[in-house]
Amino acid sequence: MMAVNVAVTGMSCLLGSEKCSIFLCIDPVKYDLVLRSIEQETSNLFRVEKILAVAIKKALDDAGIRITKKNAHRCAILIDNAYGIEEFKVQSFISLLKKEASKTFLVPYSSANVLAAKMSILFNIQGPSLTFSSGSLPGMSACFAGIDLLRDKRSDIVIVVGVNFFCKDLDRAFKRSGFRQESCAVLILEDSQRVEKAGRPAHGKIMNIKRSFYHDPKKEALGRSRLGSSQEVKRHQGSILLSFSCSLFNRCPAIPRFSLDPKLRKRSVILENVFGNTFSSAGALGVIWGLCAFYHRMGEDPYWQSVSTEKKRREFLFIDQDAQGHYASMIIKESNPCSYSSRQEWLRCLLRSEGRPRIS
Amino acid sequence: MKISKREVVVTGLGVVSPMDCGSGLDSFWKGICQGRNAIKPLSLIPARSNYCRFAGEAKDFERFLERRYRKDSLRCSNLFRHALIQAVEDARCASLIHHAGISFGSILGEIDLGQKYIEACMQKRRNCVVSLQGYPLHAIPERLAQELDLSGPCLCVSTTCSSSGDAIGLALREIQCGRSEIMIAGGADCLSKILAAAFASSEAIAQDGIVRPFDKNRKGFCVSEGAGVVILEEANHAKKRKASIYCKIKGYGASSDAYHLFRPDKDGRGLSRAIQDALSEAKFKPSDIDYINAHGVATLYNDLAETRAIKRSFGRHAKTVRISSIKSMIGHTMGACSVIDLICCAKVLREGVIPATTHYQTPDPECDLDYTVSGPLVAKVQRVLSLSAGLGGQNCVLAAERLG
Repeated sequence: MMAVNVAVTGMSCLLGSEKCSIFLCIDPVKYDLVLRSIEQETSNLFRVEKILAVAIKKALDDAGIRITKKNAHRCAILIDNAYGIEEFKVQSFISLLKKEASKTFLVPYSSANVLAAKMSILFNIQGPSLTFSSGSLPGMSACFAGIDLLRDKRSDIVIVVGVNFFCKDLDRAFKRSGFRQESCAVLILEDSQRVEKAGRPAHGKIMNIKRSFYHDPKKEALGRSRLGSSQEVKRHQGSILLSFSCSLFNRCPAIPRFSLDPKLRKRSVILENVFGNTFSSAGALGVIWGLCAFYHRMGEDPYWQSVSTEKKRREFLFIDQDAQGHYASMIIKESNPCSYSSRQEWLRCLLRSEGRPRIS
Repeated sequence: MKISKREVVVTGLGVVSPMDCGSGLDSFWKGICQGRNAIKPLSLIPARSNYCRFAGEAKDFERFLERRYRKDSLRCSNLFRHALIQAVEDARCASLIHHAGISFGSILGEIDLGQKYIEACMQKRRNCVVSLQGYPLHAIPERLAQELDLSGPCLCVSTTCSSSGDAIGLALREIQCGRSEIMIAGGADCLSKILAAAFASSEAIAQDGIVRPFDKNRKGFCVSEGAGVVILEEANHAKKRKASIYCKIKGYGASSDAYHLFRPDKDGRGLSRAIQDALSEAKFKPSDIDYINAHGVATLYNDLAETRAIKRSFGRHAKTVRISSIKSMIGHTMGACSVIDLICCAKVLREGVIPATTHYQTPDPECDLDYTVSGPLVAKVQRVLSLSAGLGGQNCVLAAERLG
C-alpha cells in the first residue's frame, strides 16, 4: 500500500427518500434554501445538477471553505459518473428516433463530464475538472486522482464527488442492476499537514491507498480467496468496510462466498447490504459511512456500536471491488477530535436510508 | 508530503485515423507531411437531413484486425484495440504487457450500443441488461484489460475533447508515483448517429468539409473518428530492455475555464494556466519550446482563445514558436484528438519535420502567430507542447522532450 497523508475536511451525502417509480429519489425542492445560497443563478439547472450543487455547497460549508478568485485555480473537482446523465441521453435518442432536428447540446449533455463542467462554472472551480468512469470503482478513482493532485501540490482543495442518479425511462434495467435509491456523496480533500498547520478540524485522514485490476474470468477470486488472502485484510485487525458494487448485477458469487468467511464476517460491513448498488457513489459514500461510525453510535447496530466505542484502533480499511476485477482499498484514520455538527446530519441521513444497516 | 518523481518515456505509438484508415503510423505520418485532406462525404451512416454531410472516417480499418473481431459491432473498442496492438508491437513489449495498466479517454464510447440499450429498455425488451454492461465508457478499457490479462490499474476518464490527454496525464502520474512501470494510455471515439446529428446544424461545423484553423474565413471543424495509444514507461525500465524511445513526457497541466458550457474563455486564461502548469512541471522556459501542436478546431472562439492563451503564457516568445493544427487534415477525432496530437508531436521530435496547418488562406488579424501555413517545415525540434481544450472548458497540456 502507498502511504499518503490527506485530510477529509468536509463531506456531505444526499440519499433518495422520495418514492419515484420503484425507487427512492432525491427531491431537490427540499434543498431550495441551500440552492438559493449559491452565488450564481441556479433556477435554470436540471434536477441532477441541482442535487449535485446542493451536495457540493453543503460539503464546502462543512469544510468552512469559500471558493474565491484567489483560491479558485487551486481547487479541483473530480466526479465519478459511471453511466453519464441518462435523462439527457434518453432525450437525445428519442429525438434521433423521431428524426427531429438535431440540437447542439446533445453532445455535451450526453457525455459523462457535463456535470463536472457545469459545477466548475457554478462554483468557479478553475483547477482540473475530470470525470471518471471505472466500473464500480469510480468513487475510488476520483479519490486516488485527488490524492495525487494534493501530493504533487497541484491543488490545495479537491472536491471528490460520486453520483448515482436514476432515470425513470430505464427503471427496469436499473432494478436488475441492484439499484435501490439515488445517492450523491461529496468529500473535500486537503493536504493533512496544511490543515493541521492552519489549526483546522478534519473528519478523518486517508493514510494508505492501493489499486489494481485482476483479470478474473470465473469471478471466483472476488470472494474469500482474494479478500482473505490479501495483505491488507491479513494485516488489518480493525474494522473493514466493503463495497461490492455491480455484484448483484453480474450475479457474482463474491458476496455469498465472502459472507461464509467467519473471520471477515465479524469485522466487516458490506455497503451494498445497506444502500443497494450505489455504483459510482460507492467510494465517497463508503468513506462518509465509515467516518460517521467513528464518532457516533450507529443506532441499534451492534457492529457499528462496537466500532465507535473501540478506543485503541480508530481506523478502518475500506475495500471496493467489483465483478470486472477492479480492486481498490484505503485505510482511513480518525483525525483530530473535534465537533462537527454536520456529522449528525449525515448520520441521520444514512440511518434514514431505506435499507437499515445489517451485519453481513 | 514528499514528492519523488520518476522520468517517463514514450516507447510505442499506435494510431487509427481517417488519414491512415488503420494502415499504421507510417501511413499516418506520410499523409500528415503531404498535407492530405482526409475529410470525405459521410458514408458510414445512412444519409439523413439532420446528419452532418462531411466527416473523417477510418474506412475498413477492421481488415487489419483478427477475423474474430471483424464482425464485432463495437466500433469504438475495435478502433482502440487496433491502435493498442500497433503500439504494443511498436514498443516490442508484448511479453511485459500483463504488468501494465491501462488509461483510456473517450467522450461517447460505444454510444451506438447505448442507443440500442435505451431503445430496448423503452420497448421493455429483455436483453437490455446485456447491453447495459457494454455501453458505459469503462467497458472499453475493461474489455481490453481482460483480453490482454493486464494486472495494473484500469482507468477511464471523460473530459470531452481533452479526454485522451487527461488519460495520458493520469497514466503519467501512475508511473511517476511508482505505482506502475508501464502504462497503455490513449483514447478513441467513433462516428455515430448521435455525433453526426448533434453537430449537423451547429455553426461550429464546416459544411463544405474544409477545416481552416486560424483562418479569417474559418467555417468550423468536421467530426471524425479515430484512436491513438502511447506506451508510457519508466525511463530506466525502458533503457534496461533497450527499448526504442520516441520522447520523454516531461509535464502535464490541466485546468478548467469555469466560464461557459459551449464556449471557451476567449481570453484563454484557463488554457494559459494549463500551459504554465505543464511548463513548470517540465522545468521548461517559454523560449525552450520549438513547436506547439494546437487544438486548432477552426471555430472563432477556440482559435481566439488558443492564440491569446499562447500569447499570455509565452509573452514575447509567442510570435517565434511554430504552431500547427493537424485537425485541418484529419478533422476532430473527439476523445482521441489529444493522443493523436501527442503521437504527431512524438513524430515531430523524432523526424524533425513540423506539419503544416493546411487550407490556411486569409490571415485573421486577431490570430497573428506563426501557424506553419506554408507547408511542412524541416527543423530541429527539441521540446514541444500539445494543447487540448474541451467543450465545457476543460484544458489539458502535455509537454514532451526529445531524448538526448
